[in-house]
Parts: sequence; C-alpha cells; structure tokens
Amino acid sequence: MNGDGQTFEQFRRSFHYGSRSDLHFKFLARLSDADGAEFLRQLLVKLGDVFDTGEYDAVRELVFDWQVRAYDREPKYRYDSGPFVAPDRPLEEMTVTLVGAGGVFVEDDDPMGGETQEEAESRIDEYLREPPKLSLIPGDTPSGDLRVRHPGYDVRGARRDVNSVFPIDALRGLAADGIVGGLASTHYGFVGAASQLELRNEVAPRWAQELVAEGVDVCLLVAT
Amino acid sequence: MCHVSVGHVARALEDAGLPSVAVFIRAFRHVAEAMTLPRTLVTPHLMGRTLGPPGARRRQREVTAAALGLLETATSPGTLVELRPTTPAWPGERSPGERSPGED
Repeated sequence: MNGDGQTFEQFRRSFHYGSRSDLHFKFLARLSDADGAEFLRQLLVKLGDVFDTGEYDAVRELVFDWQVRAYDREPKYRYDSGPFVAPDRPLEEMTVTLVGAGGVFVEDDDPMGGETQEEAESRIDEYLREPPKLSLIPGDTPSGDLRVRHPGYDVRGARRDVNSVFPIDALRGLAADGIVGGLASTHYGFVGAASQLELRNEVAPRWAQELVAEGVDVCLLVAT
Repeated sequence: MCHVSVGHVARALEDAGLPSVAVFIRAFRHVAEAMTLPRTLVTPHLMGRTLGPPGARRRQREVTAAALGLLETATSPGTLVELRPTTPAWPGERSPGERSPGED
C-alpha cells in the first residue's frame, strides 16, 4: 500500500473506467500485480531509450505485446463449426458493404442524440446491457462528415482519421482502381459494446435479413 | 467486446447467405478462432486502430485489400490469416525492410 492508502491493484484498476480511466491502458486491470509492475518497468525503460534514439516503434510494440497478453483469456463464445457461403463472383464484380463496430455515425444523424464520449464511457455498463443501434451511412458521405463515439476503446485515433476503424476511403480507392466492383449505397456503423445475447439471438439475425433484402453482395466487417 | 459482436454479426450474415470477412486486431485473434468465423484477417495494430494508425493510407488500403482478398481465397469456415504488412505503419514511415539513404 502506498502513502495515499491505495494498493497497486487499485492503481491498476483505476485505468479501467476508474479515477485514471484511459481506454488505451485499461488492460492494466487485467494483469496481475507482478505483470502490471513489469509492464510499467519495461515501458519506462523504452521511454528512456526513446529520449536518446527517437525510435518510437519500440514503445508501440511493447504496448502492443502487453495488450495481446492482457486480453488472452478463454473466450466466452466458442463454436466447433461455422457457416460459410462462397461468393458467386470475383472480387472485381462484387459490391462491398462496410459494417463497422467502432461507433461511427454521420455527423447530423447521431443515434445517441449528442452524447459525449465522456458520457458514453460513464455508461459502459448500460451499453453492455442494451442491444446495439445500427447507424445508416449513405455511401456518398464524405469521411470528414463521419463521427466516432464508443465507450469501449480509445477513440482519439479514429477521431483523427475515421479510416483507422472504418476504411471508407480505402474502399473507395479500391473501387476506383477496379479491384472491387463497387460499393453499396449504404454502409453501417454500430457500437460493439452491447448485450451479446440480444445481438446474437435477435439483432444480428435481423440485420442480416435486412441486408439480404437490400441485395447486398458481401460485407467487410471491422472490429475494434 | 466489439470483437465478439463482430463475430456474432459475421456468423449471422453467413447464416443468411451473405459472404463476409472480418478484420480483427491481434489481441483478439483467439476470439475469432473460438467463434469459427467464416473469414478473418488479423492485423498487428493497437485497439482502436484496426486498419492502421490515423493517416496511414497505404497501410489501411493494404489491410482492406487483404481482407477482401479472403473472399476469393477462403474455402472453408474458420479461415484466419495474420497479416504481415509490407506498407508503412505511419505516414511517411519506411516500409518494413526498407532502408533510409546512407543506411548500411
């Protein structure tokens, strides 16, 4: 216990929607005390190196490695087999629909009525109990008109460039170059932090039927 | 949790007859494997930067093209490919293996 009466465990957990909430480093809550201390030690060593070398990659790689380690837990959902449908045409003839779970929506069509990122993070438990809402994104929407809000991950990168989680400009480039046949007239965004049972049992099957009814060819799904 | 959500959506789409491919980050590769998703491309990126860092246009295009390519190459459910990028991860950064002028 330190001088403020806080244990190292409490310190680690404070990054996970606590007093030091930081969605980049919320994985600290998943580490043991020993691993958490080792991560911080290594991070400080790498930062010390960067001051001399300017080689920032080592810091990013360290955080990446520990993020992978922290989330390596037995998955809750496990299936021995899965559905599979082969496309009936080559990629250059397919029309691609983009579906992103990163909380992307069109600026003037906010599904949560102007909720701030901070408000969303404070309601993470409610998000996880509710079914997700699907945002429709017209295919001609400029990427600059897209907004991002999500209670489960650090959105600063996506707010700097939505293509980090919703590659609409990359898809447009591939379509312009003839690598894919075209893009759908509507794309979709939702917040993946949601009731998994409702999503699996009701929402996702309904969305799938809606997309089939709209004549969608193939979907590119992006997790965050 | 988002990765599990995308897993459920991918399976539902395929159940409905719609081919799909999902992009995951490395930290959640085990989720894609456990859920036996139709097709998954795994990227070496941090959470919240699934396609690559902001502004890394070449990397984002590489990931997008590689993911869509699985629609043509995958032949069975549970297909999972871990991307070994050849493009820069940052705007203006060298590609992996690319050397700067004067570098030995």
